[in-house]
Amino acid sequence: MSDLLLRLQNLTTVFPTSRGTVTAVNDVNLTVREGEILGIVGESGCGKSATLLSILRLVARPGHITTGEIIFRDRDLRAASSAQMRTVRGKEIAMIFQDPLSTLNPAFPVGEQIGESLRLHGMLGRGLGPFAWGRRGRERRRVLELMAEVGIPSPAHRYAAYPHQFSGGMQQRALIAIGLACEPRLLLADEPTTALDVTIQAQILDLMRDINRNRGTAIILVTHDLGVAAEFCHTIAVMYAGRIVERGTVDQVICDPQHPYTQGLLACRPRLDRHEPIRPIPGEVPDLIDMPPGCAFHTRCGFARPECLGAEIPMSMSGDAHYVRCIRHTGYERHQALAKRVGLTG
Amino acid sequence: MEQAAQITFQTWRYGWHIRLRLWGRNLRDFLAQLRRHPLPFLAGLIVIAYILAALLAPAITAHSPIKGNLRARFAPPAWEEGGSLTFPLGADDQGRDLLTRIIFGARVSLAVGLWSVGISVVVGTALGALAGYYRGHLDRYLSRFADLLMAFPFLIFAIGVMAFLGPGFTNLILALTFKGWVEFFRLARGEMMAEKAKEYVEAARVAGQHDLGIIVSEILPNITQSVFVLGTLRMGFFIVTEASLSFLGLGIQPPTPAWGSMVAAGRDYLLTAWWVSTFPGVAILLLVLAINVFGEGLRDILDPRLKIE
Repeated sequence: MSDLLLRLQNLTTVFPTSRGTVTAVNDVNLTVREGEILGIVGESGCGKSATLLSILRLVARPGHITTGEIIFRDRDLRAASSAQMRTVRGKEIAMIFQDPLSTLNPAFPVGEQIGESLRLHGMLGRGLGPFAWGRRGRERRRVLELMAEVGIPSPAHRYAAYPHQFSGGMQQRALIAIGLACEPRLLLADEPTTALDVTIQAQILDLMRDINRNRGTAIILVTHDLGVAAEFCHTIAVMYAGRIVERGTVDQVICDPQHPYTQGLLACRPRLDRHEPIRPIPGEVPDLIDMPPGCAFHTRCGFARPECLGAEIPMSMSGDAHYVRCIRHTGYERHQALAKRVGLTG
Repeated sequence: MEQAAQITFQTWRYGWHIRLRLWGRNLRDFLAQLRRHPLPFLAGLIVIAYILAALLAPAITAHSPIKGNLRARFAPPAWEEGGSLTFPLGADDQGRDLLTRIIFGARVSLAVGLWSVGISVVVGTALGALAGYYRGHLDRYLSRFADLLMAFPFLIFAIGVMAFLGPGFTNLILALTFKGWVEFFRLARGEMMAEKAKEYVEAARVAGQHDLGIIVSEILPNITQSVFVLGTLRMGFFIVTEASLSFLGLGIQPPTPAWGSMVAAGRDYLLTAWWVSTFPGVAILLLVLAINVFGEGLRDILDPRLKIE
């Protein structure tokens, strides 16, 4: 794979509430290379979506990013002005959402909405004269191309249809077309298939894979479905309570999970090939306002030891860039020894 | 900011083909729907008839609306004894043809209705949209001011303003809009707050839309229908208020024919020449009734909650 597209460095996003501060994204480090598909996996409320919105700097107020860097193509988006951010959004980084119907504007035909992002980012060039002769035709041709590319049948007929006249799968395809209109380098997909039924889900994933292959668009897929992530992604990051607990390639994370939480997630998936009972992870995600000390997962972990309650557990690496945040991890001892030698503690 | 405004302006400018097509399509859908609602359809025809009469007033009347003919004083309507087709609805105390004056009076009423509703819609919707979108201090102060205005009864308030400004067409519009925008402000603000929470707004932001662009080209098209319905319903109310003010002598001044002042002028002769007051009154009744029925029909047709797709 080629060079680095996006790097999140110690990114932390908080939401102040009346009960206390919720740290939705806690010291997250991630990298996405050009053309890579990264999956972010975790239960509801573990900070997956907040991470995506933080990348675009669209965390709903009063939530905000407190520390960290968002390096996208060698520039720090945290330092960008709001006008610069607007040219990044939609043009360089696009996003698609979970519920396609409510994401499309009910007042406009689908074709016009796809065309709008072209207009918005000046992708149509200049028009001639006061009525911008030529732009109209160019816009329509481009929109029809996009609709055909995302697999909307007979685009010319669907161009003027309203969102509610589309099926769920078609709506999601239209949203993907809107996202692709300006040929972004990175596509953020926030549970894009959760609201769809399984057959459509597979079609949409196939479509996104084609886009990744044909255009080289990198994708960050947020999902709670490890099966989808295992099938679709190149690398996977597992999040728990705002932190990344395990990160590595698909083979590393799925075939050789090191963190008890990842192991738990894999064990609680129903399987057809083995007659094992489903083993759900006991307990619940801790309250993000009142986080337990040390490892956030120790309250539900079968391997918890007294040391787990101590200081924060750092990420340690084993093998080829397989990061795990657990004291049982083979890399942990080495990490501690290394840290002691260079004079760091914890 | 300047660049953002530039982009918004560009999208707005190039978006005309969409808007024109949408209007065309909505109009077609709307007319098809209207055919299934006979009463609002009839009301719409009456309103159109009034508008045509007002526009063509000099062409379709034989008399002057201002100059009288004292020999024709209190000429009765054509079907009464002594009446003639020269004065189909009779003549008033100065011998002016009532029908002519009523037709010319429609100009005043419709102009007042359109201007006051138009200004109220623009001001109220713009402020309401901004307040509902940005909230904060702007919203707090505007809403308090709106609450303050809402505390006054409309007519009393308008009488006060007219007494202060003096009579006249412009002052009449001012008096009506000074309080008239509040309803549109509250509607637009509420709708804006509801729409702002929807995901398509978030998606527009993700797509790189500027705040102003989101308000103008994403959210406003979704709330125009309710504003349009309220505008129609308020129009009848403004016309009645104008007539009331003219009746009290605070609105349009004689000899300009206005229905309110015509009713007032005929009051003294009710026992001897009932038609002088009655026909302008009927003209008001019919127009306002038609506008309201049409407005109610609009609401039934356009309200998405009642719509079955």
